[in-house]
Amino acid sequence: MFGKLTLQAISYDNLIVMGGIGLMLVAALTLLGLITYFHKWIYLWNEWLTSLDHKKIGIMYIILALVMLLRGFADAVMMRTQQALAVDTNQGFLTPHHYDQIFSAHGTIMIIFMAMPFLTGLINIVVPLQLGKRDVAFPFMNALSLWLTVAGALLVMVSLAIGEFSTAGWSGYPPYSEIEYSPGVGVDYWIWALMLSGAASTMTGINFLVTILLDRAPGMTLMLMPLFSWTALCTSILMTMAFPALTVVTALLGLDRYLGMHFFSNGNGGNLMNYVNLFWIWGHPEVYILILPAFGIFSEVISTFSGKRLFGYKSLVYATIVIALLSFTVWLHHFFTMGASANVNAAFGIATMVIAVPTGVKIFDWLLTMYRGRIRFTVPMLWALAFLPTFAIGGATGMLLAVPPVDFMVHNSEFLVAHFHNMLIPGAMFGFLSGYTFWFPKAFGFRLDENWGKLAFWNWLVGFYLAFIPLYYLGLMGMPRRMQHYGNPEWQPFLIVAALGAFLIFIGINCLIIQLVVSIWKRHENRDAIGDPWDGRSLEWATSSPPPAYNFAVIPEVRCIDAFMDMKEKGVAYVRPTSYQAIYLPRNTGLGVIFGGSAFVFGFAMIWHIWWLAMAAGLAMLAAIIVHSFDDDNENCMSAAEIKLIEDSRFRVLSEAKQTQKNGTHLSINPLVYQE
Amino acid sequence: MKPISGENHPVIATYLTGFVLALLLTLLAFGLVIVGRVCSLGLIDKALCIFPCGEVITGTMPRNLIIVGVIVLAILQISVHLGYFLHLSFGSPQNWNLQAFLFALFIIIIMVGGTLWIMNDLNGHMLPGSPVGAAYK
Repeated sequence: MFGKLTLQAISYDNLIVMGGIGLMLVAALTLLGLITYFHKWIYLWNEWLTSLDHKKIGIMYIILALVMLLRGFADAVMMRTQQALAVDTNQGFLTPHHYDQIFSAHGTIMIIFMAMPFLTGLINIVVPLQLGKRDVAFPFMNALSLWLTVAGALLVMVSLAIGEFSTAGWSGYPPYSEIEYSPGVGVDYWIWALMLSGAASTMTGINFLVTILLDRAPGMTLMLMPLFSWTALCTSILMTMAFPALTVVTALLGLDRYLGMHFFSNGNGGNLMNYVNLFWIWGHPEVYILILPAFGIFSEVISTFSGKRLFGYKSLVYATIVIALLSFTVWLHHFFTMGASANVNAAFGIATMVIAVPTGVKIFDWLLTMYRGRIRFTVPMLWALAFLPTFAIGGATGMLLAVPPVDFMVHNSEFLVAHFHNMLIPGAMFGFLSGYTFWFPKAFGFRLDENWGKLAFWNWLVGFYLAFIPLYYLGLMGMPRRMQHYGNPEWQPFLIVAALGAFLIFIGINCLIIQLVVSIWKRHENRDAIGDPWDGRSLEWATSSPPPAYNFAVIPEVRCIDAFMDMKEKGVAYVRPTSYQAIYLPRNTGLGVIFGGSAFVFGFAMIWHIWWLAMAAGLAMLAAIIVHSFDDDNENCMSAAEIKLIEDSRFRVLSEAKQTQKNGTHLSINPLVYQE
Repeated sequence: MKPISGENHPVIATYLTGFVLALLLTLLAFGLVIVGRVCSLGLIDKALCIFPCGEVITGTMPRNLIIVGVIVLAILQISVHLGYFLHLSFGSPQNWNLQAFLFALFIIIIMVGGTLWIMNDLNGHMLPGSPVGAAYK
């Protein structure tokens, strides 16, 4: 009846696991209680869960990312504490089996369920606004992607309470991940979480590829697109092309585990090396899927807060395209040591080094954008400024690793751990936090608190250096990665420093939480009445904050790069249109949530071999899609009168803002920022 | 949203043709493997075999023909999908489609070609007689 699922699946005896579950339950119950107490269920369902509005979907993606950041970071703190303690006779506080689950979960969560939703959320909120569009190409598919990602994330969270998570690392290499060596449900949780979210990412890629290429504001040719939209386009291409490889490779591993096939087993014609090969065909483009949008964010932020047009816009665009293409040609550098001959290794090593060229072009473009600019040191800009040198250090160690003989010396060591954290924390995380602060007023209508933001920034930055620079040294001393316990007491001081760094980042994360609370508390002081809090340059700042459901009552025309800055300079930014036209918008539908919920049940049932439930959930997923495809009446019409009402109140606010403003060249200049 | 205009909208017959073709090609691929396998086991009399698998029984040309056949059928299957379901054509109004297709082809060549190169190279380094190496020979 319940497959492999029994009461023994819940590990009552493990205090740490039970504590984690307890915290999760308390948080979830508090949330549910609050929603019930304030009678917000109907509001939540009507305005958010069923919404096909790209801005709301984006916000929900980012909420998911922030929640998963807390979970992934809790894992990181446990690992750092364990390694700071577990030397010699001290075994620390985590058993090897538990420790292995934690590092597997940390990697999977941070890449798939923190970074991916974060960037997808930002792309969702910003790209249609930047391109002067009213929605994405496929709004319903967008909701499907969101709810599939949520389903995958829920599976990972549930694995904490029921059963176990994979111990095979985030990359799940066979033969260890095969059924003979990992007979538990851990690897199955991992497979299904990746399958669901991988399908979601493929759909997101297709969606934004079409959204960006199909049509944009009149006059906006590809070479006039803001850089964030360009990076979103290249990331979408990578998602569309690379994610199927992950889906295939996890599916094949699943067939091995479920149906006794031998794609990657040791015997019967299986070849585990092909798993490694296929996994990294996805895995390397994935790195650039994470980093390219952050590059886009930095471009927007640096240009805005230097008060200058981007230096070398075209070279930045071409560099982005070249990086996207090259990212398909380097995957072997993740397994130099697997035994390919020197020629193969050399070819992929050189291709890897070549990627540094377009990346270097970008760094110089950003530096020259700042050169002779009037730089405002706001929180988004601080993240961008810290990114430049930190990322360059990570890139330099990447060049070392790209040399196969060096890689043979330090592969699988803490050096590697330091390297990829040194790429992904400044290269992705700093970028997302910069974008989060930068576009928060656009999404919610008020700015985030500057002081708490700066405090968060400094704790993150110092914490990052303390946590990861010692790992380079440890790697060179020969410390392997993923150690639950070690015998060399010389390593311990460095690991204690790394743990201190993690503690600083912990303070930084707390600052982010306090920042959010304080900002909501003081939202009237930090209100962004006119929709342009930073003296912005691209079209997302041309509409109100938060934007109305239709984004733009009249789609603006674009004549050059930095379209909105051009409009402000010509004095046409806030001209009231003479008439409005009716606008059609996608109608809300609960089918996305139903599909995602069924997908979660389907995954859970497959993991525990509850076949009847899996069949029922699979049918429910199919039914949701069929019902939606027969629904021809899926758009709402907003009449011109309704739009006029909304726009009239906007122009009232604008004229009030104009009167209170004493002096200044643009209407939009933010007094808070300019007083500095 | 504009209603889809009648003349550009593909008729249902196109989809049906595509569906039948796709089904046929799938059955053919399975048939190739099953018939080949059955013949190689010597379970069926030579005369009953549709494909030239008389040789399979004698063991001179076993797997290669089947593998090549399946690959050819797979490529045909892809073309059917592209043509009948995705309406890819090489006319000028379909410029974007064609560009996207060529780009996808380019990436596929990198992925498949790279995989073949890497796996063959690794294969050459396997111990003689190891099961992994044998499977590729």
